[in-house]
Amino acid sequence: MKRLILACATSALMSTAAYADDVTLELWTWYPSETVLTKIIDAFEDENPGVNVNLNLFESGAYQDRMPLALASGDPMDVVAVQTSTMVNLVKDGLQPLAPLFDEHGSASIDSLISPSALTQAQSLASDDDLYIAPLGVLGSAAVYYNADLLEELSLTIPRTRDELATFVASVTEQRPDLLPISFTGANWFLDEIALTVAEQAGTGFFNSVRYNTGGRWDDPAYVAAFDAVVSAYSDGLFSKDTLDLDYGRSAELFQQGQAVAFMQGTWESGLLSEPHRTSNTIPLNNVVASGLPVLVEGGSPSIRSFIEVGLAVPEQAKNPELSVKFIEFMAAGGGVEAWSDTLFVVPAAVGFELADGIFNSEAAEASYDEIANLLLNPGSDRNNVSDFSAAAGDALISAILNGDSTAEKTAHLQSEWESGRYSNSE
Amino acid sequence: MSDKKSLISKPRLRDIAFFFGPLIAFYAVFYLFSTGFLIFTSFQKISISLRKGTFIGWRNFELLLTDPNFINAVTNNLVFAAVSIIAGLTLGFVIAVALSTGRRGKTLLYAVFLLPTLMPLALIASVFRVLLESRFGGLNELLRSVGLEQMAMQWLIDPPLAYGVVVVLFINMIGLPIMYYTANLSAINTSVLEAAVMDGARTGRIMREILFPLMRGTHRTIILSTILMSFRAFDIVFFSTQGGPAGTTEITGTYVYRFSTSGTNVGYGSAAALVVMVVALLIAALQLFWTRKRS
Repeated sequence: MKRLILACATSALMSTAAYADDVTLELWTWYPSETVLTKIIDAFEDENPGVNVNLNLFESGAYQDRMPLALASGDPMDVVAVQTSTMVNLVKDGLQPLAPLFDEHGSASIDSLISPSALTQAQSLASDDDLYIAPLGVLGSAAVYYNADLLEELSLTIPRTRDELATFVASVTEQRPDLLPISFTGANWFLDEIALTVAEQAGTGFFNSVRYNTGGRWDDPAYVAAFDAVVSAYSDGLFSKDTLDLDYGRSAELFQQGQAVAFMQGTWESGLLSEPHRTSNTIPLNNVVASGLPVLVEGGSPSIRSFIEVGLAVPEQAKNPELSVKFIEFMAAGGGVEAWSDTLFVVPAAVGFELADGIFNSEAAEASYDEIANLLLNPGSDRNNVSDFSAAAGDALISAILNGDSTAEKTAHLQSEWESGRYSNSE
Repeated sequence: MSDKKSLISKPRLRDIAFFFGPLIAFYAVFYLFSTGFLIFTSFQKISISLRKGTFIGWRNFELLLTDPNFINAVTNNLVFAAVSIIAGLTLGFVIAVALSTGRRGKTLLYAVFLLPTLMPLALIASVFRVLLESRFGGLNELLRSVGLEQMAMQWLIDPPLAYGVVVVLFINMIGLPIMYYTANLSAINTSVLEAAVMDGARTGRIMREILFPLMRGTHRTIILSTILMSFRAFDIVFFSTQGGPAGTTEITGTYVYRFSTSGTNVGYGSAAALVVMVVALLIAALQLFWTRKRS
């Protein structure tokens, strides 16, 4: 098992000087859970006597709405978590560039604390190419989680190809018709995630080429093939149409309650592989394994789109930037990482960090986490989503699945929508 | 001319300010400010941080009015409003009259019909969503368990069925019309009805030719409130179908929500909200103009 070798050297270097007067640090975030954050905050406060961290914790959706407004209104904030992709540009005008702050107040420069590739992605998010966020780690989509007990009961192995997936689904349906072979939400945004993952399996870096305007189009062969593959996965019964009315929560619930053999979702669900995480969230599964999405296009190989997630930033209104930097360093590259890393929400971006022992209860689970982490660190493209367009792309897929609309017509429509200026890709 | 002074003296400006001030302040903050904000941002390309917006003239409106999904959302709003109005004016009217006849169990029946109106729409829509789930939903499970498997449908997946489900959810809101009709029925001069009964008029004819025309004012209230309610029925659609499948049940509320929360241009969402507001006001004005002209 892997050991914590460390990360904490940086913390040791941090100042432990007590603050003469009590200082309150206002932290705004949506991640991780309150239990984990409390643990991190307690450790930080112990290291920095006289500092009180006031936690403002929100549900993810609510945070997305409230944080930018609070930032614009000048509410007291010292450290804010920023959801990546489009949110960075939304709020960057209210944030301070991080590199000079770390040079001045950090124990080392930020690029020696956090993986350079993660910092490059963070920089690419801002239209002025400046660095505003320190990413906690990397996540991606889509991956598949399997109930290992059910796999064993049904004598099944993890499917890796389209044919193996067809056999897997047929076998589950025959042996246990009461079970859903693969549970996932058929919401438009997630069907888009699946299609884009399949597009990456062709190995052409399709999404980057379209996202960063380097010649990619939605009617390119790689995407057309992926679109077809997803639609035919439904028409051939590999994916059940019953998934189309499942929302995210319900699809997860079916898997956790043992009503589905597999669960397809983003790698932010990798906590399912962690025994402490399952225990603390009372998830009644004994052993879970995972893999990338089975290869659905001919001649393809497993792939994923990944991107940094949970960026920590110092807002313009921060009263004590030195302390803000200290907290960010503690949470993103110091002693705080160990506290949240067992959620497996992201693969940590802290330089030299490795997971602690006791997270996985089987070698298969640990190996499957390594497989997911490897895919995340070698992605086909960035998962730098355009959320509003994602809904349109997913709707095109649903329309083709339900009404049999032609792929050529739908992908051409998507290209014209992409160019319409209606979505967040247009500057 | 009488030189008696009126007992009610002309109110002083100070009194007017005292009584109406809070209301005007509330109105100014919550309506004028928000409308002004919508107008201001709808002509800009601006993020939710509301900083550094760029004036782009009518561009947001051009994009909006050329989006078939938006036109579809407005059409759906009008269809759902029309269905609700028809249900209110027919079913709602008949139920209200039936309940006002004083039969036993009246209170219980009132509760049954009014409850959906009093409960949060989000809750009702969410319950429907779980109940109508294709694979593990309660309705299909029930149908399968009694041997009616062929009747188990993909209620929220098949587009026409999903549309039907949303229509039913809108019809489910007839509690309000029933309440309006019940209030009006209790104020009707019963001598008119007694005369009709003595002249040998049957129940159907009394309802059709006496009661229904007598309640013209209530019809007007119901039509107007139902139209406006349909433009605010975000929760019904969002929590049942989320506007799907593939935008089939999208209404203006879910459209505005999508672009205001997931996009980087809040101005586009503002333009959509503004157009919806203008459409709703136009419909309300037309309806008022039409009913006034008739009366």
